Amino acid sequence: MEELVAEAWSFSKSFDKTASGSAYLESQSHKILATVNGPKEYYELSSSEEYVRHSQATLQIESAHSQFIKSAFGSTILVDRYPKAVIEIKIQIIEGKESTALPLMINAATLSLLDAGIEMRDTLIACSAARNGEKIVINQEGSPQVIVGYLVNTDEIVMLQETGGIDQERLAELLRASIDSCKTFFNYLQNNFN
Amino acid sequence: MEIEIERNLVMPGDVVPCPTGSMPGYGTYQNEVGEIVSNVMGYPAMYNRLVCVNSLRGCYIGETGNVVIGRISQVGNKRWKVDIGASQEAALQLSSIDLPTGEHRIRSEEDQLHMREYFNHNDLLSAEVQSKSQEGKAINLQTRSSKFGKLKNGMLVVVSPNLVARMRQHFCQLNNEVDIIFGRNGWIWVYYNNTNELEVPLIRRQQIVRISCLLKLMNKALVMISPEKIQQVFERTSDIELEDLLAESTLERIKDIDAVE
Amino acid sequence: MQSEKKFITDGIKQNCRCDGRGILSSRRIKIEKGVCTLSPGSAQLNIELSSPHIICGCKLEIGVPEVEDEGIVNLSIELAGKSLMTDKERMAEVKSLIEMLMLNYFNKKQLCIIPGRKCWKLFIDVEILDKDASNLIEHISLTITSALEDVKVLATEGIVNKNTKEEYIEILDGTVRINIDELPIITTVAQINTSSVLDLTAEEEGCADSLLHFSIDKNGTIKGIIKENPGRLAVDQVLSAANIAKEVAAHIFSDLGTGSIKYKLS
Repeated sequence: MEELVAEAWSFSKSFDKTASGSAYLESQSHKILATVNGPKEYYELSSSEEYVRHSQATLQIESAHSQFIKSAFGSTILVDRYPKAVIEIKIQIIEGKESTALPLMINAATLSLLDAGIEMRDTLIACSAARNGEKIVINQEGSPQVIVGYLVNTDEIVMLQETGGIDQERLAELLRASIDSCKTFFNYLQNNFN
Repeated sequence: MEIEIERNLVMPGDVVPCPTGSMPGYGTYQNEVGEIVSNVMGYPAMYNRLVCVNSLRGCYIGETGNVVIGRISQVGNKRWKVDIGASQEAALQLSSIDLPTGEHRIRSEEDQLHMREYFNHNDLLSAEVQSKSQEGKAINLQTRSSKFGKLKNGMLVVVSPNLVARMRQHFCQLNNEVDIIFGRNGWIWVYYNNTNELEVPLIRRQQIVRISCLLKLMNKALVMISPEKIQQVFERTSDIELEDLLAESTLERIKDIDAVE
Repeated sequence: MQSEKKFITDGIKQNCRCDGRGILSSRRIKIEKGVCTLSPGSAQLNIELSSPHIICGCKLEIGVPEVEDEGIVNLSIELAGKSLMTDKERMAEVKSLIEMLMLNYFNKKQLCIIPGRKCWKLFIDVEILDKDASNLIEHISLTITSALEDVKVLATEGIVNKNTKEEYIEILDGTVRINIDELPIITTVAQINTSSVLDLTAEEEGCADSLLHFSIDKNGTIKGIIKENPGRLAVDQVLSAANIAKEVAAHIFSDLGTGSIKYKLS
């Protein structure tokens, strides 16, 4: 077994009373703030797409990396439960590098969605696993690096990114490493969510 | 009865040769000297005393009695708006559809709320042109017969409306048991007419895909589309594998069959 | 619409798609280089029996470098004709994917003329002509690769006068080609229900659960993976898609020189 190096996380939620849900996540390298507004009525200029939009909720994400976050949560949040509504998620990086923030941003968003009581298929946890010399490091820089968004109970990957070039053996190894850390983070959440 | 005047291409501004006493129809106008002049590029034709020019290209114009295929673009106040590839969307009134139970009654408030159950946004349907209001040229559709209605178990091929020949029967079945609905607006539905099975079986699917690919090629080769022509093209290309059907070489073969100039 | 989707997904299950192809076959595409005579490099991608699809033109200017010994590469992707807000957003997404998966690996050091002072700025402009263009990421990456192969850069030598510190750029005879030996191409493996499908058409893209874009170089090394679309995958599906992508990339690299590409995996 290789040595896994991870960093400590701490979080708090429900600090912003005006938002439907909010969460603050802190790690050794980042501080992330996420707020959720909604579901609330969605006014949109009528166009020929009017019906399709309204049969499920629309997700609006305001943050860096928004296209990846949107596609990850698109499969997790049960949008059919909220027709004609919009769910606004805003994620801010208070401290830390934007390029390595993606997994923590997703986790912060998950926490704030849990706080807002929005129905989701499963809990979405994201982690990155990378090689740094002999060790595999979690949520830290390294190359090659794999970022995974994972549904912990249904055992499915909803977001995947790899940068830096990789061969298939490494790919399998890093995928399993990041999934394991997602599970660890999930257990931590379950035990500390008060 | 439509008779085509000699096959001479006319351009906008050309005088259409016709017997005296003719009246200008679509695609033409009468100038100060009394001559009938063409508006579009196409071939002239006569209906009794009406002189018209059938345009080679252009969007669907629409005539009462035409069978068309369309897609629902809006669900609205007691009527649906349908996209049929014309300059304007056509309207399908709630009172112009066949209720699923087959009843004949005045539509109630209840029916208005259930409109989405009959036809929903983006559904494909076959319908007949009921009327065309003169001002604004909006087309009204009706589906008052069991053969019209929502379409399923098939695929849509869109060709140029000018290539769809006039035919008596728009709902056909080809020799190899593929069902087709020819919309005069150039939208053609190729399908499997069996509602009992959950899925279209592979053999039928391959035939449907084959005919659809041939229709696309005929559109590109500017060959008039009718059941007989499709049969001809089908026989000429029956040796080509389905995978290789959509290729330049097949197009050449089809072009040899008398093409529309 | 639902019934049309069902027809398409059932067909994929039966390995008979709406244009007759199998699920692991691509359409035949033809790439022509040097179509824009006024550009130093250009390429046009056409799909058989279809109107011209994608055009890519490259132009070069001399500018000031941001990183000392590297040049600057600027990508722009536009949809010809009127585009809605949603199209503009989509183009921005496509652009960021191509930058992350492909242009990041472009050797910018070869664009340096005088370190810290002068470099080449390479503008890559992609124009999408067909509004129903599908499998954009893969096709755009192939068009860009061919356009870059076509580019002829003026041979230059940068000289700094040691005493006056003035800089000159001397133009030498002849032209230089851009080195794209390490540049990967991108191929997309889509997941529809449980099948892996290649080279989707526009209607099929509407039914795709997830899209995995793989960036693979000449040697078959995976340089990047990004998943798009809200679909859920098991680890095995990801690994088998990686195998498929590697095979596709090998076919593409061997056909790229001929200008006509069509692949079919068993």
